[in-house]
Amino acid sequence: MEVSNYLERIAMKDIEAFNELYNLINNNVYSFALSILRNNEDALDVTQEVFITIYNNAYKYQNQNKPMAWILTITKNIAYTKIRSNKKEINVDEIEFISKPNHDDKILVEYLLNNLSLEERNIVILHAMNGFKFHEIAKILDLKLTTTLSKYHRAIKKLKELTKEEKNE
Amino acid sequence: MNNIEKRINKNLNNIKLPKFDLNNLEKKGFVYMEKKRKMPILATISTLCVVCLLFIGGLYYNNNYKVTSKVGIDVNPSVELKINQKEKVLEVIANNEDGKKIISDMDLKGSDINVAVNALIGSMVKNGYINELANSILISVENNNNQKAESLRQEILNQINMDNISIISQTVNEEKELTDLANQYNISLGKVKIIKQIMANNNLLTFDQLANLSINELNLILNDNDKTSGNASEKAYIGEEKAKQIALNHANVSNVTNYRVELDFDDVMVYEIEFRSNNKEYDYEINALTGDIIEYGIDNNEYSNITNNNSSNNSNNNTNSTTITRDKAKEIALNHANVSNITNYKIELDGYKYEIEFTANNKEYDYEINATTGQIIKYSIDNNHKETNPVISKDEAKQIALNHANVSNIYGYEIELDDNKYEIEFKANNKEYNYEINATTGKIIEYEIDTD
Repeated sequence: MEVSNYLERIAMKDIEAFNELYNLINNNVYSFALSILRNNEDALDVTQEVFITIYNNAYKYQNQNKPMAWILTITKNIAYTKIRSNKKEINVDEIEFISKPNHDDKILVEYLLNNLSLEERNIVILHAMNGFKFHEIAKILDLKLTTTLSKYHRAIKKLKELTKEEKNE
Repeated sequence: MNNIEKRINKNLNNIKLPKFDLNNLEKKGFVYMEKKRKMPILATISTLCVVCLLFIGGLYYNNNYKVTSKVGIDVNPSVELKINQKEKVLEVIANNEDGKKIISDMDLKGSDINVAVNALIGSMVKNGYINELANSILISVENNNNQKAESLRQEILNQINMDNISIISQTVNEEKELTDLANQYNISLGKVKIIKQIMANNNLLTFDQLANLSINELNLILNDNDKTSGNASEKAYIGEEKAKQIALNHANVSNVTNYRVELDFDDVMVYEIEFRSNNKEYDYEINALTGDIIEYGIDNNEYSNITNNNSSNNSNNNTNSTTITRDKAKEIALNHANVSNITNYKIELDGYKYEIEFTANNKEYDYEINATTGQIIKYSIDNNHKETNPVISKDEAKQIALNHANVSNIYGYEIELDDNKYEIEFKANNKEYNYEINATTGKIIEYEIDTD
């Protein structure tokens, strides 16, 4: 079922639809929040707030054809109001996983969160998690398409270099 | 998606999130689940009395003279029909001058809603407001009962007998936010709702821009098949095929892959075209009315070659291998653009490449040039560049950022004006500060503080 169908049902306060949608896309929302905030606790808070907002406002959505863009724009807006000034490095060990993650992959996410700029992180995570096209990402993040593309290339290059260094060590 | 992204995706999807407990949140007052409210006894009794008193005399009035629904019709003429429970028209209101012309001396009072809607649409066709260049009609149904609004919407939609038109239909509620906007811009509630929907899909567009557009243009931008029957006419525009030819001719290529075209709005209606050819990526924005190329970019995709070369020859560091000077890079860009008098020139070395920006002849140029080989990695040209003079000076913007950060001893200060925004970077107390400040209002758009 499409995300927009879930939203239609949630607009009628269908709790079952809400729970199903939550299970379907909570990682997309959480990842984007984590990308912005780099803090597990804050990202969990934002995720909860986003879903409360979805539940209370689904009736406003009304058949638009880009439901994930709508949801992730809500995520961005809520997360940006939460950005704290004294950020510490993210410790991936604070995060709870469903199955034990492969060490290399876990390190990769740590690199992503600790070594890329805010915009680079957001672009890579939106691209990797949601399969958006770059012009869609540019719209969500309010960037120029050219900027989005060059930052994306730069970010992937950085990640490739970092994972290479790790292997050489 | 590349391998790195697949791994990111896999790992982020492996994160376990806590179960969502709506019931618990409701107790805390965060969400409101719909429940039947119990009416307090006193209120119930008094309501019953009022109902009794009104019942006999009121029944007749209720059925025949009480407005139960409103139906808005927008093309450019904007008309509102007030109807009673029996779906007979009580009143016809013109929301604008074109609307008055449409109604002229038609007397629709007492007629069935479906008859009235068809008569009004017929009059719009006769007066040339609906034609083959612009064939979109917006129908908005309002009733306090959403279900009734929805069934009336479907009924009206089914009863419209007209070919070759595109109807956007929706139900609306008189929410304060929407009615305020409708009054402010002097447009119908239905049009406000459609514009809001478009803005939710695309947060780069503003209400100001969209309020002036016709229903046909809004229909094309909205591009929502669930809400719309029939296709909005694109005959006023050059057409996707013609736009493709313009882009391909300009790029001087014929075999393309990954081709994509979309009619979109960027100050004017544009075709956004993307394609690949000979390992390059092309992006075009073409004015849909005139066929002028507004903006285009070509990505030579050299990035993949660069990283491959580096991994074999020079795996440590590629910034040392810069052999092209800044002046040489500038010369390469200017020669390619074939301009000499430039303003707003900026150059920056970023890893293996120079990023160069300048304006000339009211066009904005962006280049990326390989700092080792001097090859142009990619470039884009914006033909529609508008010079804006910032209201806020660089010094003022700096002061705004410093005041906000509450620091005074800073180093590594940089400021750049881009797109009417100042991008400011500096360091203080072992932290890195990034600000984006609106150059007209001085408002902080975004800021980021990073511990070094």
